[in-house]
Amino acid sequence: MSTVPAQSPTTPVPMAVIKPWHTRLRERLFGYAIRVILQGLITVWAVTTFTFFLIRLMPGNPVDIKIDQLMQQGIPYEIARNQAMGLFAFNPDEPLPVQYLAYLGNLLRFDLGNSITNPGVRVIDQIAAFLPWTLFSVGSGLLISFALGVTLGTAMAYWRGSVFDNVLTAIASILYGIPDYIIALLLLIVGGVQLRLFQIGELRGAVDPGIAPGLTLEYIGSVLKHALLPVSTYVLASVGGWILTMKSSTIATLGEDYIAVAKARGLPERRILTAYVARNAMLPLVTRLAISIGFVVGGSVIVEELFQYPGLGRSLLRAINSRDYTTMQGIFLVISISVVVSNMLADLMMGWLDPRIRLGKGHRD
Amino acid sequence: MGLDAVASPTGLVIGFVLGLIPLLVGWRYRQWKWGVIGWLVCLFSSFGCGLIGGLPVAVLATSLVISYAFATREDPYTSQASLDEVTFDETWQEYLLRQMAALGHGVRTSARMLARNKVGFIGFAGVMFFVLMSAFGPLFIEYEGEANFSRRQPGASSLFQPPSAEFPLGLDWQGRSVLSHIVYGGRTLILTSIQAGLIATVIAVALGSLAALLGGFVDQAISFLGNFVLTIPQFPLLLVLASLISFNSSLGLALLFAALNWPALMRAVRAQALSLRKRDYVEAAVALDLGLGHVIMREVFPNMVSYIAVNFIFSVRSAMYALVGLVVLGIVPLSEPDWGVMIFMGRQQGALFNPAAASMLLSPIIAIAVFQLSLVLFARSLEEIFNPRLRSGV
Amino acid sequence: MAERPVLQVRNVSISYLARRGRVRAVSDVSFDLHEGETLALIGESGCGKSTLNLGLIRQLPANATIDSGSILYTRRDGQIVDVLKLRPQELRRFLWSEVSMVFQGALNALNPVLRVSDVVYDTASAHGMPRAEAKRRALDLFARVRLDPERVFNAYPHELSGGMRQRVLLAISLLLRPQIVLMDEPTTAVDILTQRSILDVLEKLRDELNFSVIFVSHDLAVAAEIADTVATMYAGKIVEHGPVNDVFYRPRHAYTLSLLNAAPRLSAGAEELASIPGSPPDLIQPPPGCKFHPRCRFASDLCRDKEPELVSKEAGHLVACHHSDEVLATSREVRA
Repeated sequence: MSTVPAQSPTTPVPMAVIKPWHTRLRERLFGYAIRVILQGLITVWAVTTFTFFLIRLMPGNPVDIKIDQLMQQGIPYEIARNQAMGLFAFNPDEPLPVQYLAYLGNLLRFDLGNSITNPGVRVIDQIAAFLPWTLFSVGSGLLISFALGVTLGTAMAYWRGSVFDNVLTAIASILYGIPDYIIALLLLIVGGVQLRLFQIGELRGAVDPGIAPGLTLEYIGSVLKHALLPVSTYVLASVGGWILTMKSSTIATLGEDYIAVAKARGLPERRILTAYVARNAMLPLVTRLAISIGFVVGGSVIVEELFQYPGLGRSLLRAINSRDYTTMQGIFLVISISVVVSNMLADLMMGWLDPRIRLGKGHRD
Repeated sequence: MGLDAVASPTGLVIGFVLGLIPLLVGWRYRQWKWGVIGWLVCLFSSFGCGLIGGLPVAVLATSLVISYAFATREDPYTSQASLDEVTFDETWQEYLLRQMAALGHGVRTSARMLARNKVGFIGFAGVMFFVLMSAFGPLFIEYEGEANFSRRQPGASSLFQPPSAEFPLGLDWQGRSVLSHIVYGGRTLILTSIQAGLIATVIAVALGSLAALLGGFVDQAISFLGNFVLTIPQFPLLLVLASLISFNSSLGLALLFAALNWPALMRAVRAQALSLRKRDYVEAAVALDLGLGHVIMREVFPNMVSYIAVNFIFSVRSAMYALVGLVVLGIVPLSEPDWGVMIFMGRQQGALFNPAAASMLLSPIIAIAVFQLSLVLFARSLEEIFNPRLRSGV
Repeated sequence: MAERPVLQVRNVSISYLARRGRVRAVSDVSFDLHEGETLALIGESGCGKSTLNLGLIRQLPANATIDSGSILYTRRDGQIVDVLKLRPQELRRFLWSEVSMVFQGALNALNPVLRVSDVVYDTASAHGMPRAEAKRRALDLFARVRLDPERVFNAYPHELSGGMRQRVLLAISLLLRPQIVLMDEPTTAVDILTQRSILDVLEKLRDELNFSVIFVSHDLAVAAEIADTVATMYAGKIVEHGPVNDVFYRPRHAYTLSLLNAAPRLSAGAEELASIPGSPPDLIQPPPGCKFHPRCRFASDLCRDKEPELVSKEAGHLVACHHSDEVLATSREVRA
């Protein structure tokens, strides 16, 4: 409780010094932002170190395996050894700390080494080829399901108890409970085989072969056609969660005092729903959204494999199956770092959106 | 012995012995009806699942018996006793009895609320259905492990067959009854998932409590480790590790999964323990000089149990997701019978394009979907039961 | 205090649906509120005073209904409005511009993501007032409630203390110059020194801007200070209603007497605190006859059989008690 010193009834009550808004903003944002970024950088370092040891400590030295492979092709040991080392961009005889530093150095130059199973192909080029498709498919899935979830969830909370609410809650609960690859399989089997809605063979890959990339209608149409199944899977799998979370968040917000006050002030319903209900109800969801963005890059390995969609997840699987250690390591690193970066961005955005976080624990009593 | 003795006489014996505990306790406290019921339930569950089924059921049954016995006892804290007469000292036997009674009471309340909560009941029924099917199904259905070429229909190009009267779920790529594979195929999955969830929960609770109660460096170290593990994308890491390490037992897989899954619950347990430390009744207990042990066991822990139970179910669900995923992708060595293996083999054998083979793929898919869904519905209704604020209505 | 009644409440009953049954929160309440009058509604928790307040502006929660009665409001131009018959659009315009409400100033009364200025502009645009004028009025009102106008105007709710938030709410409630301001325990959530300044501010504003107040509280001291009339409520009914001095110095209802006795006096020694035995009645199945009779020391068989009506004993002093004369005599003894 604040202690207000006794005074005459005419002098204004002193308040804590509240600085003008732009000064405050700069101060707190800097302090908070710096903390977030620093934490992020430390985590990135931890993740890269972890990946380094992950591959090194795997059973079976990948370099030796490669040397064996090359020697089987008739290449003499010395040359095979040099080639293998070149592929891995590390010298297994050197002490671990030296290897580690070399690894870090290469990373800073964006050099992730060369693929083992596809000699001559740089890992970073492979990633660049497949990453956009994952971003596109999983990203659109995320955005669509978020938008759907938020609108439907608010509506359901507003008309709570109606038939609309009950039916959608049931559907959302069911969708939420079923794993995403199960939905993918169901789509494939029921849609493709039983109902013959589409030809499965035709829909492999991201785009029909033979169409030149470009902003032509033909190309875009083909891309969308091929992305339909994976994106539908992502939407169906995650929309349930968004709906249910938004609904419960909205219900909690509707019970708050300031909503009652807003109604008593005679504000129009639309204004209350948007600026008072939705803006507050969405705060917890926006954090989740920001964090989900990080996991977009990891995509879904299983879904991409089922639909044969050329994304990063499927490439990871292929690298694993063919023991392509450098590619494995490179993809894993990219996925992990993007998660860290997006978490950082999520924290920063939350600070910007919710003045209570940004301006610190500021209330006086 | 415990895991593999499904629907076997050994289980009967175990159940008989374990069931004596609630029976004897019931005899001691003159709760005959519940003593006998407890004994029968132990028998039944041990018969089905061996030791792993019998032990928890024995504990729960005993707690039920004790809770009924306690209902008639006078509780010194609410009677007209004056404050000098009440002592907070309790022998460990009395403490144990009181906790068992509380557990039994909790079970009864939950059962009552579950019966009222339709959605939760459906979830619970779904889970029970598959558990019972995996435990007792083998009594009624033979497992068909060997290929059965004699069942090929004249003129058919493969051994697949759609559902018929003789084979309710059709035949798979080796002419074996899909139904038998469904009945036998859930056991390993369910058991491994439960193991994984259990280990993850134990780790999370232990680390979370330690972090909250010891604070300082321990807390920072555990929190950093937890945040780090959370940042790493779980499934890709599982993929990499599972492909590089060969597992000969399901326990290894369970451990691997638990090692990646504990941070989520750990953070929640830690937050809960920290907040409970500051709650009024804890501060009151500390002010009354009741000692830290008392505080932990009687004030903090009982409030977290419900929370932990719900998270345990979610862990089991995640574990199953990961396990089936690994099998469907072919990363993990395949051993039949297994729902995931059915999906994997189905894809390999082209069941996707063969209308007659739909059942081989659809059956495990639907089984997994329904089981996962039931877990989720059950867990969410438990959340509502334990947290009255989530309940809708007046 | 002028004679023109600004609000006429007749036989209003409000109930809401709980799991166990129908709770009769307000039963058959009637009173008049005059221009410039400050009426204090006093009672225990759960006696229905807050429900009545909300019911007057039709802001009851979804499971509550106004079962019967009428609420007539007289506008400044003399036109009479039947509040219960207003259509939604009309009700929206009526709210805040004719009757406003000051909620308890907890953090939750203001939208945490909006600044105070946004709240002001929202209210203004909802009632067709241009932003410039709204800002001018708001700053003027903030100054009157002794807040630093510019800084508070641009602040977020969590940057203000409890007392400041309460004063902001008070100022905003006067933005559209309503005739009646309803207040729900405005001084309960703040410390005693802030309470003092809020009351001072309220009195000054009332004198300057001339509005009527219905002040719901359980704090007799506050009511004694700022109210013109006092009505005590028990179990959803008004049991005594009269000018503040009459009610507090010459109470005629046993409940009022007990409330007054329960308040410890500075001049008294360390005597035992007097409290009212028993607990408030179950509003789903209330006791027969007078609802207070199980806890009343003046109770007789008559009280159990017949519910007393609110009748006028002196000029302007109404009471619902069969033994009001006895109560008056006892109170005279006690005060002597």
